[in-house]
Amino acid sequence: MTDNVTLTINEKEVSVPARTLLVDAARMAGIEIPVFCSHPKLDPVGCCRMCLVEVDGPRGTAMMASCTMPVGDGMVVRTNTEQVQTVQEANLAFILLNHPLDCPICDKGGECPLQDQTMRFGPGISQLIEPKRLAKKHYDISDTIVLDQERCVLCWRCIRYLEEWEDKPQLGLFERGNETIVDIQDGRPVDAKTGGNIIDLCPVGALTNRVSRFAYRPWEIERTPSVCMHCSVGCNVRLDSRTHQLRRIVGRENMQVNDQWICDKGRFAHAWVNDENRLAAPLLRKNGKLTPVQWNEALAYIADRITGIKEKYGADSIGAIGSGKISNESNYALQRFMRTVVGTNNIDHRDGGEVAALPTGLPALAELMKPQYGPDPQVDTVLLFGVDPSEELPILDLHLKRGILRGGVKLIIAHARKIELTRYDGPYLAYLPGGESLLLDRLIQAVQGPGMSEDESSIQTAAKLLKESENALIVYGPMAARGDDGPSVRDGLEQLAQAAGEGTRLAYAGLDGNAQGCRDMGVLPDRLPGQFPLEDASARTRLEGLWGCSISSSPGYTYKQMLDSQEMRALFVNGANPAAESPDWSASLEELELLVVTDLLPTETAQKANVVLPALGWAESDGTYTNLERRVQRAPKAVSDPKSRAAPDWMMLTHLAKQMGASWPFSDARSVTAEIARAVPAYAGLTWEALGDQGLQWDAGSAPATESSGGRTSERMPELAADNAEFPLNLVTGTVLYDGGTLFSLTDQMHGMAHGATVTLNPVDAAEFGLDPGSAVTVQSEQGQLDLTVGIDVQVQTGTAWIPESLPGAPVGALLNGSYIQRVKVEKR
Amino acid sequence: MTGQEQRTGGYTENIVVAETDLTLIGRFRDEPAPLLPILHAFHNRDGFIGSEAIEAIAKELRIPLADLYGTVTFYHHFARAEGGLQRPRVCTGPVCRQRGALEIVESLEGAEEMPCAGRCDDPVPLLIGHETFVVSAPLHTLQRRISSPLPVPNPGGREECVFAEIRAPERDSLDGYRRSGGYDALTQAVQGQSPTDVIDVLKESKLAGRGGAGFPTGMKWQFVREAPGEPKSIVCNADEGEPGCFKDRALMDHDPFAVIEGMTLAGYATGADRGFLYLRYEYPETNTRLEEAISAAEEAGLLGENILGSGFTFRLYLRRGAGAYICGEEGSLLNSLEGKHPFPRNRPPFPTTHGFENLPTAVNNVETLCAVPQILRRGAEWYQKLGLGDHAGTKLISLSGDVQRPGNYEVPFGLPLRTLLHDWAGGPLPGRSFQAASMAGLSGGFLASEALESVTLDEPSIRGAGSMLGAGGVIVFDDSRDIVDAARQAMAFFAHESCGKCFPCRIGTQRLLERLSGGGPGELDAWRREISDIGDVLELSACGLGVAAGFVSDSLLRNFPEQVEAFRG
Ligand SMILES: Cc1cc2nc3c(=O)[nH]c(=O)nc-3n(C[C@H](O)[C@H](O)[C@H](O)COP(=O)(O)O)c2cc1C
Ligand code: SF4
Ligand code: SF4
Ligand code: SF4
Ligand code: FES
Repeated sequence: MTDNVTLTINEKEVSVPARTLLVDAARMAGIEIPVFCSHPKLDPVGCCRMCLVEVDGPRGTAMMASCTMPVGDGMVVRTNTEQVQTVQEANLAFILLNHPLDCPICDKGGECPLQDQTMRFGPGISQLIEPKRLAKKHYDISDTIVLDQERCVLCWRCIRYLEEWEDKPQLGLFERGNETIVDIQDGRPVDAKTGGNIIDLCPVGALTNRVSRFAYRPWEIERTPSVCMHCSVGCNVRLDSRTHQLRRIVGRENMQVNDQWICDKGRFAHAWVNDENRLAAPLLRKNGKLTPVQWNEALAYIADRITGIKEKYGADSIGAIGSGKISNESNYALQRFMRTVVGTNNIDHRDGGEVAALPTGLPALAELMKPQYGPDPQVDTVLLFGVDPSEELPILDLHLKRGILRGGVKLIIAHARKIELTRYDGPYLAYLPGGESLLLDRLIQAVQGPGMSEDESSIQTAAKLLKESENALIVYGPMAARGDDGPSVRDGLEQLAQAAGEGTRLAYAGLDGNAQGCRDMGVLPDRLPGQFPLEDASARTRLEGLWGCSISSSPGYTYKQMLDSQEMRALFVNGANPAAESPDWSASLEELELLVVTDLLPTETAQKANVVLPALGWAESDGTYTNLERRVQRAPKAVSDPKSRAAPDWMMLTHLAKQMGASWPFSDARSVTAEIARAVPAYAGLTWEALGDQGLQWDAGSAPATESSGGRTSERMPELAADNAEFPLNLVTGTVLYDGGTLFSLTDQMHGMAHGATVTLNPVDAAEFGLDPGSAVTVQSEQGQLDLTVGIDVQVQTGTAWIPESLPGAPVGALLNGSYIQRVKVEKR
Repeated sequence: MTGQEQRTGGYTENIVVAETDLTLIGRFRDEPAPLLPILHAFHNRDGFIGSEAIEAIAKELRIPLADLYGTVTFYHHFARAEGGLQRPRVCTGPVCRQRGALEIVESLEGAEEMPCAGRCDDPVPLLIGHETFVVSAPLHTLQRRISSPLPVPNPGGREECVFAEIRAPERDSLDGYRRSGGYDALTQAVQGQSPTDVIDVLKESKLAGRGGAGFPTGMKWQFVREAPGEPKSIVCNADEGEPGCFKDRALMDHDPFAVIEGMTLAGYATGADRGFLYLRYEYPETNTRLEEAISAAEEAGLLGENILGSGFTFRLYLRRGAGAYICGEEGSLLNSLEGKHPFPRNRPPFPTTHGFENLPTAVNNVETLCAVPQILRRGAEWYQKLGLGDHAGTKLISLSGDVQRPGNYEVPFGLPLRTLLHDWAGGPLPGRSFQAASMAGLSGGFLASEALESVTLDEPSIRGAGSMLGAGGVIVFDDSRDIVDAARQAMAFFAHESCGKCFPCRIGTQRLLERLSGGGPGELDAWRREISDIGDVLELSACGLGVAAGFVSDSLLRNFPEQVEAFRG
């Protein structure tokens, strides 16, 4: 299909695919043409005229905009003639004469294409002295982005990004001619979740980062290639730091993961790194008060207590909670500690053993992507089952939108809420929490049904799409497959995939930044590193050889069981905060004889601990993270606080193990990475060096086969009585991007963006209960109650009440108390 | 600023649209190119376009709010404050200024300036709502104006094409039109000629675009015919925004069926089944006339489904602009029709393959289309031979300014300009002599008196003199006029009408305006050099507007050195 075209640029023969734009063809040939408006990831507009080159045509030589001109066979182009140069200089002088030239106080100074081009292509001075255009300076177009209309050169990159990628054209060009300005409309902020990318795209300092404003000068900063850990997409980012402080995060290109885009949480929500409340010294509870102590004292104390508890109650009275938010190295060390030093499989994480996951994540993000240049996505139909990419995985959301708009991808959505992506055509299948299995039964039936029925219901349409697709992907998330019904949902999804035909694949997407890695490292009560079941003798033997000790084959407690159980005596909690999740858990943590919390900040759980260990975060220590498509990526140390005594988890655990008589061969994080490559067959060869700056995917073929639960159990979740008069509404909960979680809420500038402490109802229900937007209410379940205000939105199903997780000061856990399904009532306060 | 507002980005799902607004939108929403008529409907109902109207329209047509808001602010006719529709807009184009337009603006309460309204052969016009008036200074009496002056019989006794029948009795009614040969061409075509036959005749006739660019019409239609993609469209460009051009208005006022027949023939030849007539806002009476003519043609089975029983279908939609000269540029026009921000489009691709809604489209000027029925009736050879020497055919010239008899004249290509100025139009006003004339409206810059004596009315001759004929507007300035000031006014027009898309024109027109208003270096040579440097950059503009602006300043420096020296002295 891609016929090549041969043309001559500066006497050099160049062969490029047909329809390539001249500017790109030149770039491929190593010839740079200066541009302002053109950007390799955006559609051309041809407005700056910086890129004009000489093209020989039938009517003589003409100056043509190389950014809008497709190549032609036999075309003769010159980019280096005197005329071209004159034009570039003159044009640049033009742009400069409209530009405020306040470089010394501009955040872009030092990395500004306008400055650069002036040096390289321009006359070096603004010859024409003029009254510059006067427009609005320093003006917030969102809580995170500042616009300076005087500096804007009107290249429309920002407008085009929001239109072509986000499909949220929230910026426009107003007025005309010399009066033209870029602006938002009527003060409505740019709230696209990846809007911050326009800052990276802006060729001048017209769009700047409100969070990092004036926090750096580009030439003073150190740049560290890293990855984002706010969600499991694992976008590639660059951390800009100076004097031990993380100053700014920008997107970094990885065509397998995020193209060059990142979301606003990843870009802006990093204040926690340098927060003044960061834990900086080990704390030991003395006389009821957490008191700073030396590492030795803290570790000796723990070693002593653990030994005692183990002797008294047995190893299975001790448990550990790891986290999808911390690195592979930390998780690996934690499970090795539990399995080898303590001798128990009581190790899990939130969304761990309680979720019927599949081991291999998404096939590959690249199969869903539609970059500016490149083939259409390989996946033609996507069924999202209980995942909301817009709130949970923003860059996956971006890829999906682009795939739908430009790559012919069809979307089917099954969700308890009418999520944002339902704005695209495509069937939406609603269910109530707990109703997943029932929905799947109907969907499978429709897919297996004889021929196509006349029935145009969404289920039929969805079934038709799945059957017709050649390369469908079903993605489900933890919300849909939690708890007792989880395995049945997963089996149903597998049956559906099978029924839909050969090309259909099923994938589980965890949500936390290292959700996949956490599983891969064996932070599961019934699975070893590499996700091998405990019963797998050969896996056990291999690890016993590596670790030099024996491993128990009896499954441990899950996350929930550890917190619910009365038998637990000691608990390690690393990077998790169960106390905030449920009142019962909060109480039971206090019953423990020993609670050791390792964290970045003094969480609710840490407040209850006997020992608190200060951890280093992802920006402060080398670590690897595995994203939702099994890509193992490096996050090297980028900053360090010389005053802090915090340490990486693996290091604390190595010392603790030593105190307890085990000697681990870890001298630095990379040596842990190296051991992981030996402990997990799929990670073989994935050493720190091998991973490089773009990461490597582990081979899905080397994952252990999932055991099928042998046909679907006919057991269903007990239907919650639909006519429950006392509690008339089904509680729907889930993740929102801008929540009250610590990692988000410490960035002050983003407070206004956070989801308020609201319960959102369908207008019909709100009317029935006499509630208006903003009404102060108490929401009550059998488990507890919560004070909230009312929001009203048609996107919420009737009969449901939507309360996101981790709202600021309003833990939905109070209503769930460790369960997954509840009915509630909403009453005016 | 708070992020609490729940909206699905840029669109406006949560907006509640009033029932009356829904009805208004509903009138056009199922037609093609619905945005402009809907905006006009709101503007007419409310007297301005308010935020609520924009939100309602954005939601119903699914246009992003920021986009629509930007688009509305682009059109200067749309008032954004209450009562704006009724504000008097006075033409302050180059000719009206010669006739005291600025004084009228000052003396009329709440009056606003408006760029050339295409009535340079009439007293100064002003627009109030949907009505055109003329003012006669110093009397200041408003007089309603319905129609433009009828072109006088050809003063040179030359055979005409588009004006050949325009003076026939009741030519502007369907009956009168048919009595004077109207619809013969269409009847003959649908009954006896294949579409390619029609195209062949036009190719042979050498008819070329009369909107300014002069592209061969037969070839354009052939491209459209051969381009893949359906439905195809015909767009009649009746935006006539060029100052000093008023020929299309005369054609539409006095010969509306000729435009309609021309478009229908274009549809037949290219395989297009829909047409859009894009009329500039400032011709409200012409709009009414065209509406009536379209209904009459539809009723007579000459437009719409199954035309003349031949099975050929062609639907015609009348669309009105809203005060933006750039919408005459075909890419802008198409964007404007589509409801987008009316910026010119990048070329390639061209409208012939990627026009209205990215489908094959022929965009043609009114005059071009009016010539078509005549050529088909009388033959290619007849038309070709109307021109003088090697030149084929005729051109309408809108002549205005300081001459005895301004008006529209149909000239054979190749006619000496001096014949038109002196013999046909009576020469300069008593006691005056010609100093300069602008060409192509303002887009060709200014020729000095010597050139006026030597050029002939055809593109090669006028290009040879460093200007262009373009759409055929010629404004004469006699020795009483300040030519530097005329150039400044022209630049003010281009700066005002620059769409703002491309850097050279957006910035350059403004900088030239400042210089022609007295700014820039004090030293004459430096001043000249800057003007010419800026002119060079303007040549890089993305469309003809920016390029034309450069013509104006360049021609001033080149042709009027003494006047320039006096200005800087
Ligand atoms: C700034 C600008 C304004 C224009 N205005 C008009 C106009 O008002 N009417 C018109 O017919 N063509 C106008 N044109 C030319 C059109 O782009 C186009 O060439 C023409 O409509 C094609 O029709 P034709 O081939 O019949 O001439 C304009 C071009 C430019 C660059
Ligand atoms: S703000 Fe920046 S990206 Fe947007 S148009 Fe202006 S210069 Fe371009
Ligand atoms: S999508 Fe996820 S990984 Fe990417 S920047 Fe956003 S939070 Fe980080
Ligand atoms: S030349 Fe002027 S009018 Fe034409 S595209 Fe550029 S800015 Fe717009
Ligand atoms: S880069 Fe080509 S016009 Fe801007």
